[in-house]
Amino acid sequence: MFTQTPKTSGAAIRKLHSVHSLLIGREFKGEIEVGKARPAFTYSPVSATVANGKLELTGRFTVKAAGQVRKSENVKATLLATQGGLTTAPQAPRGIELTLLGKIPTDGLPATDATGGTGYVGVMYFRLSPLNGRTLGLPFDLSAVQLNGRLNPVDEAARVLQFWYSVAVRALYDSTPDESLAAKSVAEINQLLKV
Amino acid sequence: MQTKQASSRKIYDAIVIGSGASGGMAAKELTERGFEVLLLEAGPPINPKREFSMNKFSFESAYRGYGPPGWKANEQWQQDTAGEFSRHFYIKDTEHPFTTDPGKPFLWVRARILGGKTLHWGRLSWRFSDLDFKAASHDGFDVDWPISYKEIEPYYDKAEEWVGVAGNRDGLWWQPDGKFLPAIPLTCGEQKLKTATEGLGWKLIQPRLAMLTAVKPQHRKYGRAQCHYCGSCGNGCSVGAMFNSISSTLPAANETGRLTLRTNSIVRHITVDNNTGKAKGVAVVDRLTYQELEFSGKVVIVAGSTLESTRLLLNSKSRQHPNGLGNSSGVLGHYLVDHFGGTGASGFLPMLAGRDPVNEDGKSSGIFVPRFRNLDAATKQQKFLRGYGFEGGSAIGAFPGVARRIEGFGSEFKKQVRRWYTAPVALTTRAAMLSRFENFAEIDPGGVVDAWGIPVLRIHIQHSENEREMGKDATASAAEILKKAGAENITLSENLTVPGRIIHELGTARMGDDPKKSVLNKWNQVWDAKNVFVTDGAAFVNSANQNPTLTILALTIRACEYLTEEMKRGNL
Repeated sequence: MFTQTPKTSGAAIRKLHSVHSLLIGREFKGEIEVGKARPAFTYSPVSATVANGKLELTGRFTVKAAGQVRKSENVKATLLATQGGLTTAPQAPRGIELTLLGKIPTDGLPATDATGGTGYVGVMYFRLSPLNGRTLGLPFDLSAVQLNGRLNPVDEAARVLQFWYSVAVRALYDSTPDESLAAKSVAEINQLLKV
Repeated sequence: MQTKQASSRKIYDAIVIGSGASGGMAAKELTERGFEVLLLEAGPPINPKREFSMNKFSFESAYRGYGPPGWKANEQWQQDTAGEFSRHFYIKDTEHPFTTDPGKPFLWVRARILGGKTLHWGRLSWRFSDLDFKAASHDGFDVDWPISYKEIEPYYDKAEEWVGVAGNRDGLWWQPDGKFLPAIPLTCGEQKLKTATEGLGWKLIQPRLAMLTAVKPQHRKYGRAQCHYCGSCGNGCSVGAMFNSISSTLPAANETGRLTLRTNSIVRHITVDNNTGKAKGVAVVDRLTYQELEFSGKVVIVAGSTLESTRLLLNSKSRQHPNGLGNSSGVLGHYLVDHFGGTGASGFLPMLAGRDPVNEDGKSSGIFVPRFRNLDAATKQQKFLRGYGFEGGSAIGAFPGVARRIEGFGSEFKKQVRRWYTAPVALTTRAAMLSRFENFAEIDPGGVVDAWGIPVLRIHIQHSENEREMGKDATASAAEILKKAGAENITLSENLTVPGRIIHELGTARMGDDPKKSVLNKWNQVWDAKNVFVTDGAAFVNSANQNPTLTILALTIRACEYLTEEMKRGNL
């Protein structure tokens, strides 16, 4: 009863709905499950902008499989939504006030872990386009693939980017958007992506 | 045990979604009443012999039970209670997104596996009373439940007898007694806490736990054995002493010969008859093969856990139900609550310091201080409504957690750790969060989906001034108890837990008397589709301050009894 054998799938090309990645340095890195193989991919943003009120990154999508590297340039990553981070907030870069993330606590309500001004982004969910599975050597329809970008930085570049991504999210995706804060954070992100 | 193969051609009497506390109980109740049931579980099956780690010591792992560096933060960052030996009971957050507002995080622990969260739940089994069911009549906030304690009392009895709940008959009107197995004794330090608490005019009782301290025929029949106090309940209880679906309700359902179980079956949406607006079945995607399937049923029981059930209803849009199934009122998704904790106090009991260590953590129970605020005019508070209780205890644990609180190094440090290791004491809050319309879940408007392309939830929730004031009072009261008990080195905890952290998310498909203000009627039946029942925590009107599972089980039994009668009458 508790050990049913799963059925095996057919070989039809299926839509890949999402890929998971970690922010390492300035890049989102992950693996795609293709049967038993797990080709590595990297999304390397080179610029950021605001389009239709959403944060939009542009960069290169690289897949490394069976010793071959395939790339797609000018891939846009539109930030759809985020998941709030938990426990300790990232430290603000030197000279920057943490209050850029919002008032502490939000609306005068009780402080919990990572609420209000101590809130930050734990995961960013992007829609990638355009991506073509065949070009990248992947047996998937990638026409609407979502990049899940987990922010749990273990290096300084990612830590600083997490802070500014969090500020941008606060500025653009809050119920009261803040245009000047958005512009400042996007400018900072662009500086960081250029390095 | 054999299981039948699920068939897309067959019309099942009932389709049950989810195999946790509610789904397991629904499967048992309905199959025993003669229903052919298809039970759909989104996660994999489980083999307890291979996948339970009850007898594994942390020291057997290089990672001491914490797992390899980074696994939690990178793969299961929301699964707060998962450990190295239990991580497979929980979902991978890499595949299961949800979203939140900036600065308002939510912690969502999810189990997609046969047995659901019953594999690792806290086992505390409290009844609600009319102080909870009729809370609005008591203090004027929000609305009452559409049921009273008297109506649900027989179902609490049934649930307790089936599950096996250890506890005492304490005679507290606001914390009703039930059908208990022998209670688990208090430790020495807990006796000190009891004396201190009662010296302040409050109560301290032994927790009511779904653990077998005696084995009755209904337990023995399915091979459940008495608890042997190994203390590793969260890693999977191999002897069935701890209540969970796979040792209890599912074997009972399977024994009837009327259960069909299909694991790895993620329900995308409920399918609807275009003419009647009633459910006709479910659309499923296979978790492993991505194959799309449909199953038909006369009745659909939604028991996928509070927020997953609501997500499913919201995703079940059709011509008849354009805003989601059961959402004609616009209430679906709203009134989300969790209990809050975090506030409390801890310290050391000097009279217990330096004694010989004994096994005190194996019982994995502790104490409970039932609510003592806003019970009546004498205990009415000016700054907050409702109330809280304390969980906690004083027990020597395998891991010397006190070391974190002791300063120094070298031999003197070790000496101090050994001395205080036997004397810890702590109280932590379990408090009601007010049910407010503005705390809600919706389908993510940004279009975020999970690994199977199913739209995910965006959760909007934050605590209010009421919780803040209650938390302050709880911290002060906990400190008062510890001081009275003679504790030293008292540390206060003042931050509330992030919503979701207590894993008691409730509401979002509340029951009520008015179809314009609720999703379900008093029988857990969807107002807008009478052959759909939501039997898990989504149905709750408020959280009270007690753990919810026993109430979920009682409501499930009651709903199954009702739908059986309605089916006989041809009303579904």
